[in-house]
Amino acid sequence: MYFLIDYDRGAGKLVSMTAFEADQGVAARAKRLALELEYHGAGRVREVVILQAPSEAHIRKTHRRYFETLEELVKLAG
Amino acid sequence: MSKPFTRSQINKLGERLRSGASDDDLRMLSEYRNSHEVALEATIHEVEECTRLTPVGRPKSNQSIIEKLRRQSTRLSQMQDIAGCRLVVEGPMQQRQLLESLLSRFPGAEVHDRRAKPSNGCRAIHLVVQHVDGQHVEIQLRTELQDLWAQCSERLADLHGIEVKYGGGPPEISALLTRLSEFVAEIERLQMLASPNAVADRVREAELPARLRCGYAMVGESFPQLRYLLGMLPDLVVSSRQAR
Repeated sequence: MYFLIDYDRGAGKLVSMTAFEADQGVAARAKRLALELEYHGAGRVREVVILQAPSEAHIRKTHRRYFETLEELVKLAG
Repeated sequence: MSKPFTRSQINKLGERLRSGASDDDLRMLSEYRNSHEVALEATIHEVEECTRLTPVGRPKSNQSIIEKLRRQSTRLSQMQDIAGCRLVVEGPMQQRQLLESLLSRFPGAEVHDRRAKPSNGCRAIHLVVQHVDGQHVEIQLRTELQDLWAQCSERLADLHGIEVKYGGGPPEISALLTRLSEFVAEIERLQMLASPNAVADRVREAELPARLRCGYAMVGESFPQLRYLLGMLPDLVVSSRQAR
């Protein structure tokens, strides 16, 4: 699957996450470009990224920063 | 997917992106990034096959590519991490085993071992493999502790600016991240020493139980200190914001 992440670095918040099936890579990449152009046109800095994994659980393990606050990361470590 | 542009066109695009970016530049960058998809898919498949683990694929975001171009003198065509994938394993022993498996599968891979020589505090092993179509894919191998450090660093960079990731930003945060990184290295060094295989390499079998107990005790003693340092991070963020 493909997970299109729209993340606001300044606010430290996940704005949206859209899942695409494994055969929808082209659609995921087209949507990513559309978002990048939209933010560029509006002068907004956003992190728009596609993560590829069999499930959401996988990306929540390897890319925790999109989903957990600093306090949550630290708490889980304790 | 074939390479859509010449190397010269890609490098010229990189130069334009250093000073600004038009919509057409972003479209071209997107197309160039997409040209790595076949190499990324193939690499993920091979990693799965040889390790029985599932990496998460991550083509670099346009924003990250542009920031890297503006931070470094690297030419766009030479950037080796436009496509990448990441594996997080429990500890340093598993990381070492994983490295061995991957090197047997990708004997020509370029290895960037950032365990002993971290990059701005970031410890991990990165392998760069070259696909038959010439495109590069970076494979990141992290232990859970190395990953925790990296995730905290990223979060702090969100709050205090991207320079935190590269040793800049508020000095108190930079100092704490450096200290945390050193702690991660020390704990993992002890974990390696305490692991049965590593100890067996060094001591006679009769001495093994005592050496193991000693090694595990040392690891156990280090964790509360790591937790203490981690616990300081959120308060530090608040005080640093108030000071600005």
